[in-house]
Amino acid sequence: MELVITAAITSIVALAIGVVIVDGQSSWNVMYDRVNSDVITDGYVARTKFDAVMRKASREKFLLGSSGGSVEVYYYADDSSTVPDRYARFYTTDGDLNLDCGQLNPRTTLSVDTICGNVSACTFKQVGRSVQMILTLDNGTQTNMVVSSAVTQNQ
Amino acid sequence: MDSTVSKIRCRRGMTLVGTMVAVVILLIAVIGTSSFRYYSAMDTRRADAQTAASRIALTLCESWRGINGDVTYNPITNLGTNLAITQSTTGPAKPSDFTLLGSYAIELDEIHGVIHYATLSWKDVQPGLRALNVVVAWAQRGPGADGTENVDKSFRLTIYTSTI
Repeated sequence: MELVITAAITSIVALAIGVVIVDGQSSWNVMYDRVNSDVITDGYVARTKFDAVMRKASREKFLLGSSGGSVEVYYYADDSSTVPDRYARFYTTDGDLNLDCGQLNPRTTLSVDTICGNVSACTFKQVGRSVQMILTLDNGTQTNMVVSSAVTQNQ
Repeated sequence: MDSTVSKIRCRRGMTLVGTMVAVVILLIAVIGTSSFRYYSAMDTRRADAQTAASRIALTLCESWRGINGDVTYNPITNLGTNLAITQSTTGPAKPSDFTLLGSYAIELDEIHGVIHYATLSWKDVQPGLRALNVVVAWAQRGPGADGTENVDKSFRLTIYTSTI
């Protein structure tokens, strides 16, 4: 009789503890993904890169692609440049956000970098001298929308 | 036969008290782990909200600076479709010598349930130079009954722009 009671009590407690442990682990995974999943960290990378490129760009002009699918800005290669002689172009292709950098006159591509993947939507807009990037990242289980605005400020 | 029964009777097994003591020790360990995870999740949520606040402040400032700090700037028109911005009757206090532009409630998609309140204000420092101030506040312990009663954290950002 004592053994049966002990077994019953132990089973109930073990089951309860098991539920708590599983639920805790599940919550932990959700929380961890919300902070460290690829769409979140890629969002930070995309935003930082976008800000950095826009801030060093010339305020003279920038070009928005059709329907805001891309944006091209111009900047100075170094201190000796008297006119903007480099370009940087953000665009999306096959679910990737890419940055194409190169020189002007003659126009030559120097590098094409993939900033992030899992891009489900990306739109660029103009508000005065600032450029907005509305980027949506989706890895199938989690979505992250990044809204960034940066002023092109070099003269 | 008698010697076998005698051997069985001499063995010591687990008693009910021993089992219960083991269960209690296990419970203490589980509760300790749960506590650690609870505070980790809560701190992560707080950090998330603070990061979001700084992002909102910077986005508003840069967007406003893009039109040279125009006093007719309306974040609902410029960012409302993307950031879910609505006009708010309440918001964090602006600096005393700044002119109020407006207060807004902002919700980011990935910060579930956390609403940020932003107050935009401006001040002409000298002819052609304007200071733009954005204060973003949020409720760390949850929004409360009226949405703003628990607002206890804020992030402030001031930038300067040419008005010419």
